[in-house]
Amino acid sequence: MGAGETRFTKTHEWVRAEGDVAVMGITDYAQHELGDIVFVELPPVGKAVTVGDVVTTVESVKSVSEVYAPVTGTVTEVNGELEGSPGLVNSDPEGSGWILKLRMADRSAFLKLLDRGAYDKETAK
Amino acid sequence: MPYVPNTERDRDEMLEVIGASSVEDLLRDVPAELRAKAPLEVPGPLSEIELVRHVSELAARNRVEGVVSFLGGGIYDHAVPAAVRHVVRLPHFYTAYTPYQAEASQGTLQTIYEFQSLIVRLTGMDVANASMYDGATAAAEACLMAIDATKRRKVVVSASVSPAARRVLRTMLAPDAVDIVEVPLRHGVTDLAALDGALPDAAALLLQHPNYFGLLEPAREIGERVSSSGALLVASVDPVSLALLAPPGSYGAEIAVGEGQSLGSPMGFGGPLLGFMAARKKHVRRLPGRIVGATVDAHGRRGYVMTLQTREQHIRREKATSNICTNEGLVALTAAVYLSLLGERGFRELAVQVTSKAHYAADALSRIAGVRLCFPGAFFREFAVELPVDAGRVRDELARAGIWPGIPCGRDYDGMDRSLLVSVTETHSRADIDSLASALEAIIATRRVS
Amino acid sequence: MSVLDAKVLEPTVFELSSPGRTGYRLPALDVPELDPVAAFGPQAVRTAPPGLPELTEPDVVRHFTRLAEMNHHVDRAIYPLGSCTMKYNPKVNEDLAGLPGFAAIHPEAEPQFCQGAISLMYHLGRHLARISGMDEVSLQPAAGAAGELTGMLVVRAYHEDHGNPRTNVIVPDSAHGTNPASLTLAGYHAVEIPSGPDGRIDVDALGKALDAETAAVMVTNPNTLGVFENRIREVIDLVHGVGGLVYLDGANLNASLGIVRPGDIGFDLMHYNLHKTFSTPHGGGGPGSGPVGVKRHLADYLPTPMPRRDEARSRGVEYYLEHDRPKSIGKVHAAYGNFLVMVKAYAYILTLGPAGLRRVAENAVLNANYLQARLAGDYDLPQKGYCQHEFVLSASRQKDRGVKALDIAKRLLDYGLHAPTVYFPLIVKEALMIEPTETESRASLDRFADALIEIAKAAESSPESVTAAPTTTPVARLDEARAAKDLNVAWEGR
Repeated sequence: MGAGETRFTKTHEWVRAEGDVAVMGITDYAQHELGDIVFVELPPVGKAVTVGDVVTTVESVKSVSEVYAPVTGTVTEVNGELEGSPGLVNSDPEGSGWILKLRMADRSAFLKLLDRGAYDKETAK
Repeated sequence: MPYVPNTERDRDEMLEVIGASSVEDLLRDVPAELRAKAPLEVPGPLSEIELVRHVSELAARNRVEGVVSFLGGGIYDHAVPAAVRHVVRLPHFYTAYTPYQAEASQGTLQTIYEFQSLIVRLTGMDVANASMYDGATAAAEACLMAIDATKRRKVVVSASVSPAARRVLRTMLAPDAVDIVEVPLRHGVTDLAALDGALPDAAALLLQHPNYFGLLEPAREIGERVSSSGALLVASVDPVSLALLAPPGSYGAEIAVGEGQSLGSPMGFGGPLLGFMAARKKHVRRLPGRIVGATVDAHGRRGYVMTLQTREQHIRREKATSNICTNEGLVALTAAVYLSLLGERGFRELAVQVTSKAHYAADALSRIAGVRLCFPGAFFREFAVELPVDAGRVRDELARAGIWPGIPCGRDYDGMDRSLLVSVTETHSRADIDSLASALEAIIATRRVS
Repeated sequence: MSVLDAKVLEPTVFELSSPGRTGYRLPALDVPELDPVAAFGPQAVRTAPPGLPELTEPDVVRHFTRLAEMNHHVDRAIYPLGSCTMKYNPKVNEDLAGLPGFAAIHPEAEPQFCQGAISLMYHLGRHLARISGMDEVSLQPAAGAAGELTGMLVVRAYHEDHGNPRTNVIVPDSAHGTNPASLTLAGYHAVEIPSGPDGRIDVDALGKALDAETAAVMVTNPNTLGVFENRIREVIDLVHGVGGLVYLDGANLNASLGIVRPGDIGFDLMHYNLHKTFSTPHGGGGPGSGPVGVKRHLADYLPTPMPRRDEARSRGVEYYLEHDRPKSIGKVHAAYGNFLVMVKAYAYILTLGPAGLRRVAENAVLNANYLQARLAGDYDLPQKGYCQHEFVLSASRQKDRGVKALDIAKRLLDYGLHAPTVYFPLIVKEALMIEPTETESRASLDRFADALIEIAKAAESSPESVTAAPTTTPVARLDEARAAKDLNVAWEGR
């Protein structure tokens, strides 16, 4: 459970802790299910969210997917690149397709998330 | 059996394929106790000859022959060019459906794209949608957009916005627990001092320009005040006026709406109408209704599709920007054809004629002893006149002469019982206007003597 | 590559424009010409022209005619979209709506000069009421969704009048998207309940969801899978039991004409779609008309004005518009609704008469069942038994071969036929919702069934022929992602 390890939710978000800041986005599985992503609604910096809240939405041509906060915290940064290139979420979902960063209120929620092995088992079902 | 091709033989053969014994058998899921007990109590059936006779007789009971009408107030008596009527009657357009399968609907999609483009150009905005039901519901939905954009719970509306639009606004905003504050008028236009008092914490100002009385509002000053207050300016505009007047995009409107009936559609006793809506690019994801976008196909050919559909009810359901589905598609096509036919010069010429004739009429009427223009300000296509006698009796007497002078203002505005809203279009000849003036003069003179 | 530079089938009016052309001439101005700058002031006038195209009449007619030729339309062939009722649009009705007495009359004409119009509206309202077992009808809403919103506002007004507007409206998950959208606009919260596998309301789930905060339940009957809600009386009694109202989305009324009257069963209010059941044209997206019918206890809340008849003529006229309606929700349209559309529906009802309307429903049901029977071998059917006027297929068998409902829809276009509705209702995977209507001949139905069967076989033997479709339409599949990402909704070139 070191810093920099990626964790996952059952609702297909990934999170990486960098100190007390959590970087997050949607998983490769999710982007594949959605198809071509055309828009990511970036929340305002400073917005406070509780674990399980809808923190943003990701749109493909024919659907809108809600993205849930995997931890409780405050939005510190959003990925402005996604305004002009929402397709980054498709091409590099865990890298340059990151969506936002949250300053975590505490790490307890993060520690309860699935590791990659457990998540892969979930999606294989 | 009109319009139903199945013969008894067809029915029997089809039942055999289905494996049912009768049509009744197919309906077995409908419980007997829920069935209609008697045939429907409606008239008919009528043959086509009988139908035409009956409905023509109804049409004949609407007086349109031998009448010169100066009724306006948002719906105007413009001439409809034959070519517009012809295109709109092409069955490829009017018997088509919503363009869900874009590859088989490029006709509809491109005409909507052209309509959107024309509206954007006329209003000086960035984006437009495929239409709303009418200018009034478009204005109400624009105010809902502003509430969503600003998260404020107050909408300010000028009393010079048409009475019908203000009523629709109240109806559509009633569920939202939003304060609707009406700003009074000064000399027939929005009172700026009162506006200043109403603007703080407003989501929007709904302004009509030219307003219900045909008057030009101080749009620039209002735009500046609205913008400094953090509210959005929703400008409801007369499309024909946009041939000459500075467009809403130039005086700070964030959303522009209006009634497009005057762009090639008949008055039709008030419907179908055509709501148009245009906005600044940043509001595009909040726009209600359909939007058509240009793109390319798999072979690099230009084509058109409905875009940003995730705003709409069929995808977003209770989170959609509106509930609108069917809009006024064929009327939007009508406007696109009309504007293309008149073109840059023709449309400007139309506006010049309309306003020139309206001013000629205002001069002629205000020269009658006892008649005065209600308001001193500049006006575009219609104006309010005050008569020395009750407006209702004047209407009755003029109607006997086959003249309908205008809409009585007293019905919707206090203290204006002797006033009429007089509207003039390119279809009124100088002789028509002169006969209105002389007939009115004669009636007033008679009243003075008696 | 910019959209402006792409290969073009038909240029836009802007690209066809040539300076100096105009397509319409006005008479010479016969009054002094106003100078806009002098009259309005330099601040108020345009500094640059709007940028309208310049074309002659032949240019305009050719352009729009070429565009017209790229449209599938119901005068050409079947258009079997589920819950859309794309029936034939009678031509005499188009003529009647164009009569000058209807087209050229202003809504503010005094009542004695528009008796024909008010009379038509009055009688159309009466006919719709009698067809559906309702007491009063407002013709003001301009489309089905507008009717739904009006209905929900009436529901709200009723409950407010009784002390508590309540907070929720229940909708089944098979409902058309306008239902939850409309109730939300009316200030209610949508509570979704599950449907059974046949799309029928889960009555137990409904029972659990109902409470004192339920203002109404919105029902479509037959439902969006084309199945009659045979427990509808139970549903209605349960809702009435908590003091709620039951609303019928009348989009599927074509199956019920002369067979079932919603008002008789217990529905409190409903909307009608004149551009579906009553044959008025769809126009590529309107104009439609969505009147609302209500039982007596809701009549006071309907929009204003209402057309009335006074045979005694105490006001000097037989037909008039009643404006003084203190409990009315107000207005939902600038005037009285889409009057010229009402003319067509009125004419349609008179043309068919009582027996004719019933045969419309019977043949709509017959045609749908015939298609269902012909296609049952090659496609999966989520519900068993006879359908009403529409049915849903699932292309899940084909999906296993890599061919989706969307691909099948696109391949149908190559046959010169329009696809049915796809991916609705949401509760069926790879859904194809088919409503042929009663105006399709057996030959037309067979042509459609044959095409779908051929496509099903192609999905087995050569799936690429389906996934590559359409190949014979003016354009191939369009890049919708690009249309959303590189937004271009107005022509910017000159």
